[in-house]
Amino acid sequence: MIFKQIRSVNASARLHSKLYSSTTHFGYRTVAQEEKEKLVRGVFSNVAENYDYMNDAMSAGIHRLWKDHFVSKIDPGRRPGGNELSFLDIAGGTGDIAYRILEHAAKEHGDFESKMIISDINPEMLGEGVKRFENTKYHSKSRQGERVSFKVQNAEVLDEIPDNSQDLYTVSFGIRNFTDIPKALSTAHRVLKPGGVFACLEFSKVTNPLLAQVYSTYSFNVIPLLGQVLVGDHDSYQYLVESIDRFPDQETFAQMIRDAGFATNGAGYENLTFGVAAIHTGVKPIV
Amino acid sequence: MIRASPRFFTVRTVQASLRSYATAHTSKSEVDLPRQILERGLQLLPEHGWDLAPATRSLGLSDQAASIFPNGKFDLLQFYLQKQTAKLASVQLKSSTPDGCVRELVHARLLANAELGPYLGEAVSMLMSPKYLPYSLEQLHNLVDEIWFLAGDKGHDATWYTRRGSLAMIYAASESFMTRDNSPNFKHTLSFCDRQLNAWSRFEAAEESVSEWFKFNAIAAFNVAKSLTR
Ligand SMILES: C[S@@+](CC[C@H](N)C(=O)[O-])C[C@H]1O[C@@H](n2cnc3c(N)ncnc32)[C@H](O)[C@@H]1O
Repeated sequence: MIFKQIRSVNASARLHSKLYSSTTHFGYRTVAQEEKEKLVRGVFSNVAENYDYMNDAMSAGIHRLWKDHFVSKIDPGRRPGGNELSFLDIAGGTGDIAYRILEHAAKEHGDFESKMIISDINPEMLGEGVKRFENTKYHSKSRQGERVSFKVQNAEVLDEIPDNSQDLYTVSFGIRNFTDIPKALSTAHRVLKPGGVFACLEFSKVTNPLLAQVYSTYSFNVIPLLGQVLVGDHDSYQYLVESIDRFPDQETFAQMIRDAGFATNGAGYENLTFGVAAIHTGVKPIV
Repeated sequence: MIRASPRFFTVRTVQASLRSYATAHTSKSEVDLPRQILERGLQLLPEHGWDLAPATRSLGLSDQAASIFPNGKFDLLQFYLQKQTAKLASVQLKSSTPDGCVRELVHARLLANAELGPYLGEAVSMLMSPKYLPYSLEQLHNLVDEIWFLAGDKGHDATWYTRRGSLAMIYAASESFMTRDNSPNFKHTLSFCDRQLNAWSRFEAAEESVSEWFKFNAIAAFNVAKSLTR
């Protein structure tokens, strides 16, 4: 069923790529720009429900540690004498990062006021987040819940987010799926206030050549197989692996962030687990 | 982030490490924003301590901006230490002997801490915390190296390491002492420091076991540190 969907989308993608010269990559397939969005949506609709389950299986639970580290590194929360903050979690899908941010702000800074927007291009992924938040103190009928809003938005556009309105922009395991990454970065720059921080957690490049070999063998062979066995969806996970491999390395991505107008502190990134993942940060200067 | 290198007796010039620190790659906007924040942090130091939020706020930036510094307050402290070390080059030395110059430079560096007021104590306990110790030792090493260089010691004999190690201990112990010193112009701190320096040169002159002395001081400094961080 799922297989069929993907195949048929692919056929039309091939047609499109013949018609339009502007192409992009869907994993290792070259597709028309406007198709990628649909294809990615398809992948994440397919994996939405099983997403967390697969994540755990794939990374042996390490993604949780990465996410914890990510949030404690960006240390979100209202500061003494300062104003409440506006957080924007992009490609927020299941609300994983947003929840951690709110909890961190409360625990570390006694912040129960700052606002959170969770946004994703895919209504089904966002739906998982809504469901998830209903089981927390941020459920829609609570006072705390009023701080949180969900918006279906394309990260490249964010037409519902005003200029210079956000203090923190997070994107975790999302950006490699975007069709036009530079466009998404300048959109991030647009919506952030001066001094606002762009923070990205994403799979990256293992630098040690031996480890890199082991890792790519694992990811190309084991992950799609796990996808097949655990959730009966080989192709979607094949896409995930390929998209990881295609994503620019640490230095290149840091430069893209600077090219979008952000300042970085030193190299601008930190490797996690030998570079399997990396955290990139940038700050928007006064313009 | 923290280089957990135990090799804190490596030779590196302060200038080099100052240059490499917080050198933000330039973005489109061509401002070294991280450095700008740290500089403002130093200006506000006597008033606001090591917190970075007052600095970002006074630059008109979001409070969130401070989070680009992975070690927060400690990054400002490091920047401060580097600047202080670099400033030693402008001390007008009066002594004619290297030992005398060392003393003058150590005094100058200690007295520079006076502007920190209540925030010196916080600095010392950050420096002692296990998380930052490798960084702290590197800073201390750079300071001692600079003092030695400015005092005109070109020796590279067998006592090179212990001499630097000893001076590092004396400086660290004096700085710890200083956090509890209420005497005018930190008179007690300077005389504490002098007693250590004198004891040390006596040992050296007698060519007695410098390493004994070094061990003794390591233990003393460690105890001071422990009592401070408790
Ligand atoms: C791997 S999930 C990440 C979910 C969550 N942030 C996490 O860390 O677990 C990737 C998400 O990116 C979303 N996405 C893909 N392209 C997007 C775009 N152009 N704009 C916004 N979200 C997008 C997908 O819908 C999906 O929910």
